[in-house]
Amino acid sequence: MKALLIKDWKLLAGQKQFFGIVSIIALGFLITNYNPAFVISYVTIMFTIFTISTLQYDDYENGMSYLLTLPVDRKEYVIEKYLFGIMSSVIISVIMLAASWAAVQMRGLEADWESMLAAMISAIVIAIGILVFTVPIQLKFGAEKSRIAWMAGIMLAFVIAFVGVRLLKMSGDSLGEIFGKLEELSPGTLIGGALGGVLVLTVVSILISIKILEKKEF
Amino acid sequence: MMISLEHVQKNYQNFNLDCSLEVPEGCITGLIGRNGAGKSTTFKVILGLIHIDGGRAEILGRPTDQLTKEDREQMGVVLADAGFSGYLMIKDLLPMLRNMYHSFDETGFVKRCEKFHLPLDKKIKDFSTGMKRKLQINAALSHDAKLLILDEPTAGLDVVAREGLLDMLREYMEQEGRSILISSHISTDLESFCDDFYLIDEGRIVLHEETDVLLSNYGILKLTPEQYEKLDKSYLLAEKKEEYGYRCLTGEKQFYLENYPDVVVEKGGIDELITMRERGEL
Repeated sequence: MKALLIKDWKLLAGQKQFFGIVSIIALGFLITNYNPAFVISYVTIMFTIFTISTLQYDDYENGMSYLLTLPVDRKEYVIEKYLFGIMSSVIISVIMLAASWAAVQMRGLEADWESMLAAMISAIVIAIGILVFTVPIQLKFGAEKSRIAWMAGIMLAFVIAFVGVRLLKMSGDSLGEIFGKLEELSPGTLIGGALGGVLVLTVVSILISIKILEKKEF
Repeated sequence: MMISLEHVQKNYQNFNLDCSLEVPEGCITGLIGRNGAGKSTTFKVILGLIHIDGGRAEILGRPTDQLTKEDREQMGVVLADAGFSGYLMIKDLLPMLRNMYHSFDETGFVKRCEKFHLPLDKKIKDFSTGMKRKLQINAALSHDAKLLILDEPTAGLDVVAREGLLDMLREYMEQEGRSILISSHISTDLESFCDDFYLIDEGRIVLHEETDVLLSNYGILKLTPEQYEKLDKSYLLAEKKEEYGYRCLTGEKQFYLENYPDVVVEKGGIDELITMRERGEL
C-alpha cells in the first residue's frame, strides 16, 4: 500500500503545471473575492479530480499490466486509489481553510468560520462523491470510454431525478416540503447524515471497483 | 517446477491458445514463434494478467490466479509492450521499489542505471524503447528474484547492449535455484543462451527441444528432385518445394551426412525451424 501511495504522490508531484495554475487561480480568488468558502470548494474538488487522473497515468502505454506483475494486489490497488483520493481531498481542504483564514486576516475582513467550515465539509463530501462514481467507471471503461459512460451516467441521474420528482408529486409530497423538513434538522445531523451516506456509497463503490478490477484482463 | 502449464486454454474470437510447457528449476527456457503465434498470451497467462478458460497454470507451485504479493516478489518481469508509468522518473521509482520489495538492492539498481546510461531525473515516457527495456531488466534483477519472465527483453537494444544483457542474465543464473523463461525474435540470442526451447504456432506448442540437440542434430537438406526421390524420408520433420527441388528439415543431420554425401546439408537453427514451420509442415 505504501509503495502505491508513494507512486501516486510522485505522479501528482510531477504535474507542476497543474499545481501552478490552480495555485494562481486560488491566490487570485483569495485576494479579490469576499467569499473564501468558494476557493476552498474549488481547489479541493479540482485536486480530487486530479488524483483520479492517476488511474490514467498508471495505464499509460499499458502500464497497468506491468504494474500488476509487481507485488501489487488488485484489491490493494483499488483501496489505495480511494484512500489516496480521500486523504488528498481532506489535506488540501485543510490547507485551503488555513490559506483562507490567513487571507481573511491579512485583508482585515471578518472571518465567517461557519461558512468556511461548511464549505470545507461539503467540498470533501462532493469530492468523495466524485471519487465514488468516477473510479469504477474509469476502471471498467478506461480513460476514453469512461467519458461517454460519464455522460450516460449524468443523463441517467437526470432521468432518475425527473421520475423521482414526478413520483413525489403523485404521492402528495412536494420537494419544498422535503427541503423544509431537512432545514429543521440540526447542522450536526445534516453533516453526520451526509458523511454517513458518503461512507456507505464509498464502501459500495470500493466493492464494485474490486470486482471490476479482479475480472479485468490486461 | 518453476512454471507449469498443462493444456492451458484461452479463447478469443480469432485466436485460441492451447499450451503446455514447463520451466524446471535451474533452467533457461526459450519460447519462440512468429508474431501473433501466442507468445505474449502465454506470458500473460503465466503472470495472471488474463483468466484462463481451461487447463492448469501454475507458477512457483501456485495457480496463477492465486499468486500472492510474496510470490510476485520472487519474480522479475519484462513485458514486450508495457512498463513503468511514463509520467514517473527513475528517482521516483526508488522509494516505491524500496517499499515494494523486501530485498530491493537500491545500490545495485542505481549502479546499473549508470552502466545503462539511464538518467534518474528524466520522465520515462521520454526514454527510447531500448532505455525502457533496460529499466525493466534492471528492476527485474534488483530484488533477488527466483524466476525471471522476460518477454522480448532484447528488443530495441543494439548488439553491444544485447550481449551485455545476456552476460548479466548468465551471471544471474550462477546462483542455484533460479530459472528464466525468455522470448526473443532474435534467434541467436536464444541459441547461445537457452537450455531448451518451445516453438509455438497458432496458439499451440509444436516442438520442444533442447538447444544442444537442435544445434547438433537439426539440419536443412537442399535436394534436387532426383535426390529427393531416392531419399529415406524417415527422419524428415518438414519439407518445402522450392525452385531447385526440395528444402527439408531433419532432426537427424548426421544420418544424411553419412548416407547421402552428395546432399547439401546446412546448419539447422531456430530461424530455420520457424521458417520451415511457416512454409512447410512440422
